Amino acid sequence: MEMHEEQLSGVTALTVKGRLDSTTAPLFGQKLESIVATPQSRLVVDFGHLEYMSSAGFRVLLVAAKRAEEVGSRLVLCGLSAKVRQLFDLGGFLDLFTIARSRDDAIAAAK
Amino acid sequence: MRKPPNISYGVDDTPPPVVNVLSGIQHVGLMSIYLIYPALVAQAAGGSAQIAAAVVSMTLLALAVGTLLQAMRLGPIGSGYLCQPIPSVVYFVPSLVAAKHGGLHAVFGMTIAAGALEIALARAISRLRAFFPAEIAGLVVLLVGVATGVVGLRTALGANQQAEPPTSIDVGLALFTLAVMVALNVWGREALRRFCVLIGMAIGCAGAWALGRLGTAELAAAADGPLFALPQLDQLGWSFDPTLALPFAIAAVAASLKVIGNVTTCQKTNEADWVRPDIRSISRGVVGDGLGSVVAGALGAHGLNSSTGAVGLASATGVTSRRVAYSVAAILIVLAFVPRLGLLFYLMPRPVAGAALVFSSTFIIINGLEIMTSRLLDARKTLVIGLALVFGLAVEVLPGLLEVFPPAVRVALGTSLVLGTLVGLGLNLLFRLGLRRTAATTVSRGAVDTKALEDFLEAHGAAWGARRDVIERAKFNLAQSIETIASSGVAGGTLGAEASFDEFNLDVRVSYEGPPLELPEKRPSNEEIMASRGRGAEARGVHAEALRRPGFRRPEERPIDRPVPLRPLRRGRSWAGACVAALPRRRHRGRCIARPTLTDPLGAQLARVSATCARRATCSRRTDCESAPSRAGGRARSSARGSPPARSARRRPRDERRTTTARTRQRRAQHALARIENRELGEELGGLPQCAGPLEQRRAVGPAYTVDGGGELDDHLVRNAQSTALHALPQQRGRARVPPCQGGGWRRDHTAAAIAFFFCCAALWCIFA
Repeated sequence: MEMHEEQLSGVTALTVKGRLDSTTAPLFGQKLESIVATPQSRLVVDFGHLEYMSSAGFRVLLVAAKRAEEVGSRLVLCGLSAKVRQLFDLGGFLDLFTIARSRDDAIAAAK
Repeated sequence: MRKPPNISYGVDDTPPPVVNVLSGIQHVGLMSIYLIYPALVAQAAGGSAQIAAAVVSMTLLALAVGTLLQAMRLGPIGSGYLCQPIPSVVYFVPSLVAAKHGGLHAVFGMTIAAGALEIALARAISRLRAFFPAEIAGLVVLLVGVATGVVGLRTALGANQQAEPPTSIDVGLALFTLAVMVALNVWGREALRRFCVLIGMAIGCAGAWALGRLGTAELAAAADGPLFALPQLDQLGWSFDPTLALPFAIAAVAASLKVIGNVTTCQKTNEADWVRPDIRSISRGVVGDGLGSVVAGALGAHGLNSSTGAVGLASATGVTSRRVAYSVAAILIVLAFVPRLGLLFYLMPRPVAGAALVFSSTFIIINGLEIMTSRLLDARKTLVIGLALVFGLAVEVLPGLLEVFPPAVRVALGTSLVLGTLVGLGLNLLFRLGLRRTAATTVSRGAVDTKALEDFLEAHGAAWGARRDVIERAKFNLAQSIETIASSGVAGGTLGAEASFDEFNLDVRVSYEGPPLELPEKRPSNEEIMASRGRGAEARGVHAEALRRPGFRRPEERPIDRPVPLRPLRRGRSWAGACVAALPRRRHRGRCIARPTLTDPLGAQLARVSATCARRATCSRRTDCESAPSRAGGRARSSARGSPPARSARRRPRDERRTTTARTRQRRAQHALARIENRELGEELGGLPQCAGPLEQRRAVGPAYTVDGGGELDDHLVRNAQSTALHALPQQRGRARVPPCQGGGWRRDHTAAAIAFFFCCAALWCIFA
């Protein structure tokens, strides 16, 4: 898994590439934690290049979302492929996260 | 059977009378192109014009009988599809040889013998199902389309007659007719689309008349002919010549192959969820086709064979109802007794008829490509398809290629369909040797590489020719199950994953050493999911209570009496039987009351819901699951194929409970096996929306189960999925690692392949000797 972080008009955009499974999820979780732990931070996670996500990936996302809520940060997901979106649907996560169609929409929603 | 959206009237539908009759006229118009063959055979036998006309009339009658035989399912006769025969080129060349050697009597006698041989071959087809996988069926359908298109081009350009080169007028007329048909089909309304071929032929004939290609002299001769006449019977007689046996035998084999391709195309055209050829329907089709030729020989007509053009026309117009066959038969009978009308069809300009054939061929070609690409293709499958296609097309591009063969063989192999199909079947047979149907790999508990697991399934799925969507689902199920088991901390040592495929089922089994997993009944809460990060520590905490019980030891400490190898499965033996056989012959001293709660409840939930979706799609197709008795049967079947968890067993009906002994339940509860079953037959994927209807009915007979955010699932189905998703099987600690890609040994299908290959070689040797 590869992660690429960039700053776009006050919003942190994190692009995730590859596979998010039990091996890579801890690293991803640490990265999310380091960003959303800052109060009032804005984070967009772009899953456009994500190939696979297991339950471990969902878990760290949930933890990050809860943490963001506690400190007043905002977490928005975007670029879900049909396959990954189906996993969100199976797990019942579509309503738990703010999910945007494109990165621009996600940045607008995060602001 | 779900009708594809492009089909207006499916095989079981009843079209309005007008549609029925007009469709019948379209088909007869296309069939009339081939009436040239009986006329030419009669001429080759030295018959007069009256005898040639009589043979044509008798061929029309035989065509009517053959059409009905193919459309009506009379016991073992008839495919039940609109797949009428024509006076085929397959029988034309042997008939010419017979006509020159023994006259028309020899033609009729040998046609009867060839038809009888075709019927005999049909009996063997049902036993050769394994040798006709989907990619071979797709190849045959593709070659049928190519052969139809080539015949159409030759007809349009006059290449069949070789009397005169094609003129620019012929080419222009053929292109004009083709353009009209295409325009009506693409941009026309539904009614125009349905009769685009008939309208195109009518406009093409008008154009031919305007261009002077429709002889007024012939039209005048047709007008002068008798309105009603009984066919002449002077030519009737039968004789059998052993020297003609070989060409007619090869023609019978070629005709059978053509029927296989045509009926397969009909199946694909009429069923949106088509997965693989229905061999019984094909076998009945071959019997019907052979019987048609027997009838043709008995009536004194040319040999008949299923028409690829007719199948393509039905697909192109969206009218595939078998009731159209009744119209076709009625029109053919009328034409047999009204020579004037028959002559009108016979005089149809060749460019017009050829354009209709080319138009029809396009739909068949796409059908073939769709069938082939629905499967994963590895190097073997790629070679089978590619080489067969190259050899098949070479016959059309390089006609001189077959000059090295004896005349009889040359006649039989002279079409792309026959040669390409034979090459494909032969290579498929050859490549079956050494192909393992079971593969296994191991996964280290500490380093689960999900990508490697996916690659494992991908590679073997391609070698087996499994459907792409099934492999995709199995990949996620396997990766998620392995991750769940590995992260739960209940597994000791390595995990084993075994996949097997038998054309109908893809079974993936995960085994590990340790206590059974308990799947959550419903989706865990978000707090539970987030709290599951502790993993191993939590698992140990859950085990604590169990460890205090006397006689129970932690999995890694449990002594096992003797090594229990994972045995390869034999044919006819269920997975459950193998699982029970692999259980250690030792009675545990303590009761395993520990049910370790999964530390990755979300992973288990994802694996279970994913498997449930596959199950649900299966049951949405198998409507018998909707009645209460059948539900019980479904459970029994599940019990036979896998070992359901104790809780599921407790909820079964009383009579089923008796079949499971307490001891077996205890054993099952003490070991774990993960098994994900992807039943190909029922899996119309993206099945969720499709099963909305049947779910409504099932809700009435069983309690419903709600998955948060997922929708309602039937309780029975959830348990079924649960029972097939994770079950118990021991894996011997310290046993030799299962090497990657372990095979199931030399099995019966390999033996059958070897025998069949031997007979093919022997047959080829006999032919060339």
